[in-house]
Amino acid sequence: MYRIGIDVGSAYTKYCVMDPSGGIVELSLEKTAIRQREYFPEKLRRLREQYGDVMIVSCGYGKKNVPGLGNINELTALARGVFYSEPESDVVLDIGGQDTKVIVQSQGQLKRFFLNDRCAAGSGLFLANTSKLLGTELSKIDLTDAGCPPKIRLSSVCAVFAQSEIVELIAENTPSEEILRAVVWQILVQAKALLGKVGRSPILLSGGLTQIPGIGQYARRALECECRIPENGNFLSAIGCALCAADCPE
Amino acid sequence: MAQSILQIKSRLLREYYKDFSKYAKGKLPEKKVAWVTAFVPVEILEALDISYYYPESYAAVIAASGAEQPLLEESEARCLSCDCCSYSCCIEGCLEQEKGPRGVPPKPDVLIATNNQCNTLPTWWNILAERYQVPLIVLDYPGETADRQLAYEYVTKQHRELIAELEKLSGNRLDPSVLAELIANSERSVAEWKQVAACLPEYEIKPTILFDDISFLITSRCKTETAELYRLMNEEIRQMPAAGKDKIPVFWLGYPLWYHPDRFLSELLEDYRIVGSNYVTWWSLNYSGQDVFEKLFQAYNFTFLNLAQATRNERLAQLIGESKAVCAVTLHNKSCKCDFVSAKNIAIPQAEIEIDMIDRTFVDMEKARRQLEILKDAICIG
Amino acid sequence: MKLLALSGLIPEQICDIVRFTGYPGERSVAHYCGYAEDYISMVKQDDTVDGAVFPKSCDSCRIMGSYLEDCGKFLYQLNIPARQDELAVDFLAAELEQYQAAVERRFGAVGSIAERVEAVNARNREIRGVYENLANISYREYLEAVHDMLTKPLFEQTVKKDLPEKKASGKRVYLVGSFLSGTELAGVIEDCGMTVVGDNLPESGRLAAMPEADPGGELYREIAACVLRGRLSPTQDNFRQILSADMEEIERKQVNGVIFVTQKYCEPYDYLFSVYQKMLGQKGIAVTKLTLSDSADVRKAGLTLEAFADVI
Repeated sequence: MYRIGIDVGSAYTKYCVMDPSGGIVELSLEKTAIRQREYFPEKLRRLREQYGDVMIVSCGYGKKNVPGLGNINELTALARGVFYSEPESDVVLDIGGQDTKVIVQSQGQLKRFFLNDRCAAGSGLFLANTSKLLGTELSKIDLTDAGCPPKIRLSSVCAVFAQSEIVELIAENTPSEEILRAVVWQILVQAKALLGKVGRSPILLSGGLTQIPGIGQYARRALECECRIPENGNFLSAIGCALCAADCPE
Repeated sequence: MAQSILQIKSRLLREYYKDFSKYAKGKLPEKKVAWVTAFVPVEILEALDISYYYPESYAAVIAASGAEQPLLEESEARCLSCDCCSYSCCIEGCLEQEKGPRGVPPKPDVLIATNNQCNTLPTWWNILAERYQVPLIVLDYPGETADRQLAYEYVTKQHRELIAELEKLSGNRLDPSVLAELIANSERSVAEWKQVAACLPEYEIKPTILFDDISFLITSRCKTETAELYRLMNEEIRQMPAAGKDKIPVFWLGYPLWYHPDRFLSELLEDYRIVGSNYVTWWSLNYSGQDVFEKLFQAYNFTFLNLAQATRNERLAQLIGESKAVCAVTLHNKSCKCDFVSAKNIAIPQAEIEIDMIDRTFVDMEKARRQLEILKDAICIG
Repeated sequence: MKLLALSGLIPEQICDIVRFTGYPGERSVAHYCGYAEDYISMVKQDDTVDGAVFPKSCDSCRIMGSYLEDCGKFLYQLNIPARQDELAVDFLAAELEQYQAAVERRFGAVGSIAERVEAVNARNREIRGVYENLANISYREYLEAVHDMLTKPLFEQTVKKDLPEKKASGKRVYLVGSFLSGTELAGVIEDCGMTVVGDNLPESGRLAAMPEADPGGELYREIAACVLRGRLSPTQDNFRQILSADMEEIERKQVNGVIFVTQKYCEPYDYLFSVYQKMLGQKGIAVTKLTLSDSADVRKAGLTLEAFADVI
């Protein structure tokens, strides 16, 4: 039986399909639906048409809207997914849509975790809002040749105040890419305090930010530590969910 | 004359820092060591020949030397939230890393904390007690909350107990005449300091001098040299030009910004002149009373931050009136709720700035600039 | 007479007080710990409240009088000594007499203190009985029942004993924190498959452990000793006693993990956490910290508690 892991994030929903032997068949993502209770039953019906009988486990903020086998905590899922994909990485910094987390995993088990309890200026939502304000697509952000540190540094740690800083920068005709780089830098710098709680060793970066070209060296400078960018950095929790589905008896 | 001021300061500083790790180089202190909060009756410790150090003051030194950020990060990483008082975060980081511009203070034999400034300091001292596994003495000062006679008896019994415990620790006996003389020294230091502070509105001086040099009143007020130091400073300042009248006279309501070279936002206050500050009056303790215990009660039970709001209102009104300030910069200090509320009822326009006296990254300078511009408009239009 | 008491440090034996448990109304003050903020708002806005009694034990309540000075209601601030020795007991006893006198000047005679002492002793004995059975009952329902009870005048309080039973899970946790206004949090803990087997909350573990005052003794001293000699709050400046008492209970009840709940800007608990987690680390006991932005905030707690349940 195929296993499907679904990570329902605040901005995007990620899917991992595993075949009965535990190999990944498909990784995909889509914007998280607004009316999830209507959307997911139909989505699952289409997945069953494609793969036959499936076992489904979900995680993330919208997990309870997915009628599957069950749901698990996203940090637990992340630990499983990291161990499957990057077994040598024990410290993971995950920058999600709504919050930022650091986990320590060992053999796929969640050992320690810390969440940011500051404002959304430390999460992907800040970047998404800024892109919207600038009228640009998130997919257009490129840090490949970005100077480190960026020319502009935001001073606010609060998303509300940071937004007003950005509005002023726009009014001053600051190029969009410079503003976006400053926002990414701020998100990473805010994450440093969390990393401090586990000690800075080589870390694995996960979440939507891993899709940005050039993020590796940028993060290295911002976080002042070695950072690895996994191949499927956006899908680790979904992979973890699929693995948990695989644990369940058929 | 300038050389004498410098000589006295150097002597006091050398004496104060000689047992810090950078200078001691492994040599143990000769006397017993106490770590104290800012308003401990140090005259008792001095009389018993016990050395005393102020971690809060050292946090100010750390910030002044630009070294606070890595220590604050270290403190946050070890789980003392950065929402806590930055004095404590800075020092905890220093103790974890064993790093500081003058090294670390000598290990305490006893910790003494009071609640006549805030309730956070004794709480912080509890974690120091866990770190060093030494006795913690907390002195409880009811302030104006309790009936005066009741408070006097309670405080005096605590002072007597403190003496007994410190006699055991030091192996010395307290000579009441020595204690009386030390209190007299403190009184003289306060009297001279008040003269120096009174110069601020009258002479062309920056408040930086007062913010920095009040440190001797804090750390060395009962030493004979301190009164002489301030007397000489007073003489020197009174030879400076009179203060100009072209800038807006403003009252600085809050702590000095230890990380700033000028200890205040000089780059945003170019159109203003600071003519008064409540901080520089805090250690002007009132040692009135018939005997040593009455004097100590009066001085330490009625510290500014231990007063009721009504009394603070009166004091501030008097200070502001004397300074002739027409407006105030009020620091909404992340590290000190207790002082911020003092400004609640002052009658002059104020710009409230969210800031921290240790963490230079806390303030939003653009926001502060806008607030001061609005304040200026309010003064000029009004 | 409805006197709203901020904290368990305000003795119930002196006069009738109503314990503040939370306020869902409009907040009128910002900046400080959510609990203090809510209390100030309730005193100002709730017309049924005749007065406020609060301690001078932390920075938020120390300055509370400044924010309430214009409310026109009876205000009394009690100095809770920052020590627990005989000197402090004597001082607090004298203060309690003055507190009683102030209340009587405003509201008339308070009635028999000895009777109130007996009532508090009896009630706390009953709470203790329920508390010792925490592992086998619904913690959320227990806490809600206690909160509901504390909002009533003393002689109308009854301890709810017929609480629904709940099978203890293998994930035994201990809760540390100040007054838990948001009892939904207790529900979230249980929904994540954890069983609360003990706590040091002022309305629960600390209340259950309060020593009994002798109704035939020197009443003010007896009551003062109850406040100063029971399980302590971190505002009482004796972390060693707290760590020792809590650790004894944690080990006795074979706790797997500790959930530390603080209000944002509540310094006493933030400082306590820094030594608490070191102690637990030495004993190999997992701990997680929740920081709530106000007394009703449970939103972010779910993720943390779920993950913690998976860790222990």
